[in-house]
Formats: sequence, structure tokens, C-alpha cells
Amino acid sequence: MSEPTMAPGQPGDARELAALVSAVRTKVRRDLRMTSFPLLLLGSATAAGVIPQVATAGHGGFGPLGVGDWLTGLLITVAFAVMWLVYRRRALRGGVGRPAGFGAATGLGFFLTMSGGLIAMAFAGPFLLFGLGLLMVGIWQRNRFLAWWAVLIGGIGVFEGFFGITNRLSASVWRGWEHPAIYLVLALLTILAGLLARRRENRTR
Amino acid sequence: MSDGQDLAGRGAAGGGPQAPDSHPALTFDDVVHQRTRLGILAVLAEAGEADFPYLRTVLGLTDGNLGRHLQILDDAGLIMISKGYHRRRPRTWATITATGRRALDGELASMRALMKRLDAASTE
Repeated sequence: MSEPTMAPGQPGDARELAALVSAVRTKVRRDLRMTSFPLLLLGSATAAGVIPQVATAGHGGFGPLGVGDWLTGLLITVAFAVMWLVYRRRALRGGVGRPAGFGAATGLGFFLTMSGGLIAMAFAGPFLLFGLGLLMVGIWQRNRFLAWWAVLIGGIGVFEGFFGITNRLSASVWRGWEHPAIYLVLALLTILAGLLARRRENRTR
Repeated sequence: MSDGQDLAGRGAAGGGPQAPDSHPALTFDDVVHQRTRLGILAVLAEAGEADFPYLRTVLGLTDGNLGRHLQILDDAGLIMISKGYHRRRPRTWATITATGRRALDGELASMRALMKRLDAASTE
């Protein structure tokens, strides 16, 4: 790359530099998939944990009370661990990015599913881990979209963890499956957001 | 630095005082307003951290050219350079600093303001 041939401040110079910045950012975003990959993986992991709960809701439920949420939390923890490994590998081999936040989110996952934090997740549900973990990643990665998504979906999920939405449904709607079904909707929304983010990453800003 | 930038400190990036109707070009920062350095900052702002070969490939630079521009950005406190080893091979990493992020944001804002101003002038 050579020095700019036009004097700074000239219209062509500013437009050329703005186009360069845009092209470079698009290339890096494509290489890293920093927004779409976490959303797609987390959404899929959450959906995989919730679908058995929805499917068995009318037939005595998915094992003892709380097991479904614990399994979902465990899958979310595995998703954070996978992301940490993927981004760490990419940083070491590809020479770009850093896995900041994913390791801490994995640690939080182990705390909430395997030790003292279990009681918090028993009450608040798996979206406590989804929200807090993704928020940590969003803050550490300076990714505003991930941070806002964590607050929005994590907040709604935790609210539903205390049956905040199902308790407001009329009795005629109550079928026993709406609690995991709400979780499934949140997971599917996350997958949809991931797909939209991927489309955006492929497009020049 | 040019006269205009001397008047404006380091422009938007340095947060210096600006007259409300000053020309956006006066806020350009000589360190940042250069193709290669702007490209380096854009990569690092997006990725947080990148190594020497990645920057060289993405920006299409030679080793010497990239090294010179990294040194200028490092001296200005806009990036941090760290050296280490991976599998017994030496590696150089560049990380953007908070000042570097502010400088890039300020530069992009100045460029947008300039283009807006020029577009408005051309439609008059």
C-alpha cells in the first residue's frame, strides 16, 4: 500500500480511505465471524436442551424437576467451551482475534451447573448462564450487539425462569409445555439473529 | 503536523477544542490519516489483536513497510506491540489501545463530516 496521492481533506481521499476501512473491516469480520458464530452455536445448544422438554411436556415431563434446565445449562457451557477453543485456535494459527470472555463464560457455566451456583440456576433457569456468559463475551470483545442480545434475551429468559410470562397467561392457554416453549422461542430467535448477523458479516458496510 | 492540525491539537482523535463551524479536514490526525495506518487500526479495532503475517496479508504490505507503520502507531500510543513465541517461532502481535480506538473513531467521524459537507456543497 502506498502513501495517499491526494492531499488529506480532498473528497476523493476521504472517500477512498472510508472505502478502504469498510473493506478491511468486512474482511476481518468474515474471518472471525465474531457475532454470528456465538449466536448460532448458543442458540443451537439452547434449542437442543429445550426441545426434549417441549416434546415430553405432555407425557410426564423430561425426568425429575429441573433436570431439563440443568441439561440446557450444561449444553450452553459446552457451547462456550467450544467457542473458547475455536477462537483460541484461530488466534494462534490464523493470527487474528482473541478468545477474550469465552473462557470466563465457560468458568461461569461450570460454576452454575456443577457447584455452588446450581441453586441460582435452579431458580432462574438456564438463561441466567446464557445472559451472563454472553454479556461477558460482548463486553470483553467490545461487541455491542452481543452485549445487547445477552441483556434482552437473557433478561426475558430469566424473567420466564421465575415463570414471569407463563404466570401471566390465561388458564385456558396453560398446557404445561409453554415454559420450555418460551425458552425454545428465545433460542430460535437467537439462531435467527445469528443468521442475520452472518448475512451482515458477508456484506460490505 | 500540519498548521491546521497544530491549531486543532490532534483533532477529533485528541479531543482538542474545535470551533463549531471549523472545516472537518482540520480535525484529521496526520498519524491516523494515512492509508496503511488507517487500515492497521481498522483491522485491530475489529479483531482486537492481530499478528504481523495477518496484517501483512490483509493489507497487502511488505515486511518493511508494515514494520515502519506499526512503529509509528506504537510511538503515538495508538497500538501496543508485543513479541512472543508460538511453537518455537517468533511472533509479533499488535493490539489496539483505547487511545487508538478513539483516534480511529474520531478520524472516521471527521471523514464522514467532510464527505457530508462536500455532498451538500455539490448539490447546491
